[in-house]
Amino acid sequence: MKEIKMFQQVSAPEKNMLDVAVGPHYRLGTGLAEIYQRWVIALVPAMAASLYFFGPAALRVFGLCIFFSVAIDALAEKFAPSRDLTSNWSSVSLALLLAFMLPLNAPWWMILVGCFFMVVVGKKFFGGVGAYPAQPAVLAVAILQLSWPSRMDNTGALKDMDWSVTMVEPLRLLKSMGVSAESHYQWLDLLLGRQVSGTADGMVLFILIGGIFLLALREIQWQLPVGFILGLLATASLLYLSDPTTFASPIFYLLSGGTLFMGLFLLTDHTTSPVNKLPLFLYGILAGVLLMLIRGYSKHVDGIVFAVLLANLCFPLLDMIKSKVKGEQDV
Amino acid sequence: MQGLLKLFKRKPMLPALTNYDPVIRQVADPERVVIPLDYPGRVRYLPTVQAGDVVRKGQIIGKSRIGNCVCASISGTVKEITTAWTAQSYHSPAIVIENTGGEPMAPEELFDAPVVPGDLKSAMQRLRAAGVAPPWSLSGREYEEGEIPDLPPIEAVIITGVRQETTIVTSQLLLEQQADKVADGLKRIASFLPEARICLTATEHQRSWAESRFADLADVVFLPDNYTGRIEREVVTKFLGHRIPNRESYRYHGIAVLDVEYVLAMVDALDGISAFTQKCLTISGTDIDTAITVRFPVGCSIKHILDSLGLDASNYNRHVVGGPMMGFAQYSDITPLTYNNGIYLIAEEVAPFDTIAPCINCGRCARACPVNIQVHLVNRMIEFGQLEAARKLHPDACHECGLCASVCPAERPIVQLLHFCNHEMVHGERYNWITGDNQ
Repeated sequence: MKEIKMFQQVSAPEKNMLDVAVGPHYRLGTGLAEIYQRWVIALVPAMAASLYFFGPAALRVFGLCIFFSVAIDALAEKFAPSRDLTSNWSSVSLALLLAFMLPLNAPWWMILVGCFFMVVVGKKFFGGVGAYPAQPAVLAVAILQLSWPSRMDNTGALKDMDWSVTMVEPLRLLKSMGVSAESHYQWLDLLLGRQVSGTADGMVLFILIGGIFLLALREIQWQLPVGFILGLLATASLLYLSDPTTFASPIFYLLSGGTLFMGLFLLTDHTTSPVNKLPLFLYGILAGVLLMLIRGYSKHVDGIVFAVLLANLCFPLLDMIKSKVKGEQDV
Repeated sequence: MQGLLKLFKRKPMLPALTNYDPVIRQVADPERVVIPLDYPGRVRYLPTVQAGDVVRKGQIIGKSRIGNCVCASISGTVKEITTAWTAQSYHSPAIVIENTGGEPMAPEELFDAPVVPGDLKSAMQRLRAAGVAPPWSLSGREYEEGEIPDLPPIEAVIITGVRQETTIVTSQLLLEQQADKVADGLKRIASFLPEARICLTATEHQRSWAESRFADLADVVFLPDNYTGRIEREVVTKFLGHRIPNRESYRYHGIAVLDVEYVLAMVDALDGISAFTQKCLTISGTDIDTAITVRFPVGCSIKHILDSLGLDASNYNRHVVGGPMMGFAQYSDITPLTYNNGIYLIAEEVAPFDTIAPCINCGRCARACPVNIQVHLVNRMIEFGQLEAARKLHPDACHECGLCASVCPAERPIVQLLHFCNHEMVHGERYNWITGDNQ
């Protein structure tokens, strides 16, 4: 581990020596942990709602996810040291994102496999946080969905719950029953999270509260979620106008499943989203369009996972759209 | 709990100078001064005195080849001629003067009579003799390097009544307190350079009086309170309407950028009042409630200035000469101060930068950059040695203002990475800005 040794800090100097640091001498940053702690805080409202609805079952998923992913991250750091330290909280934030998308009855071994793919394959293989090309939690869910489609079944997981709504995922209902499915779900039910979805990704209102928290701290930029919602609504409206017998109203698509969770938490992941304003907006629109196309024309029910992965592929290209550097003619 | 609260709080973008003392205090003559011979204007001077000579305040002790002078800032005995580390962290020959008392030079000993208005040649000589190098002449180093470039005539003079660092208030205090003298200085500059445009910068707060006071003498440009709007190269660009490449000096483009303090020294020298032996400086810091501005003899140490204000130098573990964004942290508190405008004292432990934190592409740096460099891409390219790729994103437009690194949550050394890249581009072995030179 020659490279790592190079980075080791020298021991602290004696008390009365002056500190000869390089500038700037005023820094806002206090380490990466703070950023990911903010993400965890932003996920707390939805977690609380999930715990209120599901009780210990949700706690089991959250707890196992955090435990496995932190443990795997710590092991990976032990056997293959990298600059992505476990102490930067990224594994906790990713674990929660993964847990949100898992079904409530996910077996422990599936969570373990998901955490392994997320931390090791999705993140560490590419060099840790900041270097991965696709959102690791989404990657893990995609792998799980393709490997154990019957286990990743939200409808089955929630069949014992007694809610006033039809206990089938709204989008699955839409696929099987056509437009009449819309009448089974009130918009208020969808908004308050009384819908069949993953452990917490359907808690629309609470996801929104967390997203506004992140937006208020400028942790994420408004251009991305706004572009995403616009792209989604525009595509959904077009589809709805072209064929009202197959497609539900755009608001139904916006409120059902993990749509807002994708727009506010999955797409906005720092490492896999562009930085400048215009690319962010385009990225959002692209993801919204992709999501609607997947929902409309594929056999996948929700499709947020594949929309995020496809959009992630386009992000390096979009990041090349940039404003002119002032003074670039100097060269 | 406090850590949790911190997560909800947004720290102010820049260290705001909320409170400052408008009185400029005089620092007494120290026991000894060390005058680095690169002052002012970074011209190399040769000493004209020897160890053991008795000098008086205002007396010429060093001269450059074209006649620019350095003056003794206290009366005393020349102890030795040696070298010293300047606050900019380079080695410079220096003259050490011990304070053994003695009268300062009287103005009539220094100068014969006030300069006749309009006599440019004698005015230049007077300025040089008073230790105020005229900015529209050659700075001097060009001579030493054996080339005398064809310099364009001065087209614009920009007088900075606001320093770019937000914690430095010397210029705005002097502009307010000595407005008549500044106006006088502006008139003289206009008489020396009748063709040139003259610009004076002032803060937004001074708009009401500065507009009426200076509008007929210069174009007054008002600058906001934030650092982003005050970066000198950006202000100059805004005034001129075109950009001067970062690596080239203003002089080669017919621009002179002077500080208000310099204009005042120029008026003093031309009127035969005093030579340039004192300089102003603002002392601020993380736990100093009221920033203090002092006038100190050139060449006295940081410790002397802090002692004379009753501040204990050992309370602060980082002494930054300059401002918090572009200043230099000093390894010793006996560093002599010369053309420095501020001291920023930091008491608490502040991490210098995180040596291993990875960039997570959050993009704060790129959003903060005043020249729109894609810092989030460039800094990783440089980190992994892809200088050719970085070059396409124009890191050379960087002013090294420090905004990117100050907002970086991972505390990466972004300014240093960009500086390394630019240095490597100009002086490195593998890469060169000039095409066809890549061996």
